[in-house]
Amino acid sequence: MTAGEVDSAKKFIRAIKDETKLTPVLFSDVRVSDGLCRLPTRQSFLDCGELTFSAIRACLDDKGKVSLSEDEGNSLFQIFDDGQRMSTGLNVLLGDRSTGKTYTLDKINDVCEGVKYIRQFSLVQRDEAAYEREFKNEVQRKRSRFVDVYLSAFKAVLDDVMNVDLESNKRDVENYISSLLKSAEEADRRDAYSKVALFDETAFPVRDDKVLKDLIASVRQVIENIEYREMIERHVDIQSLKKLACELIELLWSKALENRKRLFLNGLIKDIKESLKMRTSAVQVDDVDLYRVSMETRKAGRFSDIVNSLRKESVIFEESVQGFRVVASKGAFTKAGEIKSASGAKTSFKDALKEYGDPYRYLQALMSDDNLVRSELYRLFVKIEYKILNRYGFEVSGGERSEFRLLQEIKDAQNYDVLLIDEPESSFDNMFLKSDVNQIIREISESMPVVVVTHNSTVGASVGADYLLYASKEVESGKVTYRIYSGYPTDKALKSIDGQSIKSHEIMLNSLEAGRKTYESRRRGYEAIEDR
Amino acid sequence: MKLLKIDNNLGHFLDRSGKFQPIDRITKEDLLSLVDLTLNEEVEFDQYDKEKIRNQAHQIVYRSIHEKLRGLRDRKQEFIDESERLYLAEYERYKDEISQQGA
Repeated sequence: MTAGEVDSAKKFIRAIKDETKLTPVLFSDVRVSDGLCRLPTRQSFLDCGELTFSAIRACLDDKGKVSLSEDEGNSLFQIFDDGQRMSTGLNVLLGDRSTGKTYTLDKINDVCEGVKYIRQFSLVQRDEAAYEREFKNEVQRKRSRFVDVYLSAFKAVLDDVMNVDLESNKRDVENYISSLLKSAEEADRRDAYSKVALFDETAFPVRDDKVLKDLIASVRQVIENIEYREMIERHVDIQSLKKLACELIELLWSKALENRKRLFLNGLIKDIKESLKMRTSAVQVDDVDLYRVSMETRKAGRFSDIVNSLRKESVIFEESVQGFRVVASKGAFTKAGEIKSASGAKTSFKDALKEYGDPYRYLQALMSDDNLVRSELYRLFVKIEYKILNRYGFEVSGGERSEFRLLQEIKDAQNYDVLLIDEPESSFDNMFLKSDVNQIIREISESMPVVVVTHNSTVGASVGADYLLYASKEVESGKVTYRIYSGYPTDKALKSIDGQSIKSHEIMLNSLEAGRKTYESRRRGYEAIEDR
Repeated sequence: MKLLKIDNNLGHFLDRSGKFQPIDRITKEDLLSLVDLTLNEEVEFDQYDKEKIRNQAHQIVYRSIHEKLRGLRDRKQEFIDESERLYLAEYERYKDEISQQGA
């Protein structure tokens, strides 16, 4: 006899719908431990006539005969010990203040595993500016990886330019010229040491064979590629490529050998020159690699060009999230404070900012500050800003920000088994966006149980609940009783576990429209508008 | 062949045309050819001896060069192998595959 074990209603339903999966069974087993106060209410019902092994086996072979509830198939399942049930889809929990709605949500959170509980947001408690900062930081954090990738090419350039010291190069050239001229002046006063040929000898230039190495790597890639082998072989003879690779490699070896010899000799020449210099009063001509010096001057110039074009304002990243747009844009820093927050270091950037116009000098200023980590300097050249825009292209307001966060949280709920949302409307200030939330909540309820607590008419009535729960606090002969009435939205009355019932119409009016009176006056208001 | 010798109290080196020149005339190109010879041929040098070379400038130069070339001669193979380490595995594999497939 085979069946698949699941541990939540959500997974049960998913397994029922998926043809490739075994018949699911929601086992009620539990690991007993200290501190265990409630037993889980997991169970599965089998539609078998008699209780025999062969009957059970037949049931487990047929998904149609297994369900989460006794009489309502898989649309309802039991949630509490007292028999209270709820829908495996969208449940709406209504009720006046202090009727135990939050208590009920807390209880569900206790009893089930894998619950995503989105508690009531409250803007009132928080400092608006701090909340906005926090919000922006969170958005930034989630997307910082993208920015790192965007700036990685720049970072590589910066790492290279950090090694360019133009001042030092200038000094080297000056030393070369002055020593050369001096030596020429004293040409007639040479002694045995300064007459040695190696005394003024220059070093061998040693070049990196990067181009050749890259070429060999590319040829190798073509030879070794498996995915596109067929296509490659149609145009290129792999054997010839191998011969090419071998010839290139042999060339690389001889070049490497040459370089090694030169490095070896440069060391020897330097030793001899120094020993001779110590013995003579003659001036030795300083050596300078003019190729390297001019290369580095070009690098610094090109670096500045790159930074200046990076600083031009533009959008570098856009992401649509449920009707909102997260936009990252780049531009130049204008205040020292901005640079400081980008770096996170406790140092003043006022001095560095003065050099901001000349990227190379700005870099030197940054490098001279010991408080800064070199590997992080790439963040301090270009300012990256994040904005969240609503569908009209304006920056989000406080209420919209909460809604955005709510949407993110709800999206995250897909990783859980049950979703609880406590009064989502308390953070909205825009009518239109609410319908987006409804849509998302409904979508999620198709794959897992959702419970939404709400007062709001738009959310409550139009969200399209599969099941209604009504929390009520009743005082009977001095005793306070909390009850939950439940039923389908189409039922005329909702029933509690202990047999009481209440008319649905009353509930809807009381909770959602704050009383019949208000509803009547609003209805007149609507009619007045309609007449126009 | 001999690359460095001491003669008439002066140091000498074998120049590129095969003649011996005073050691204070040596240039870096001459040194490069001496290195090539050391790596590719059987070479020998006259031992450095402070007493035998009277000229101080010659002393300094001969001593350094002699020390270095001798060291190079002793580690000849290592010096060459080091340069051939890059892509060695691929090289050998391709050579194999070429000869197997029949050039």
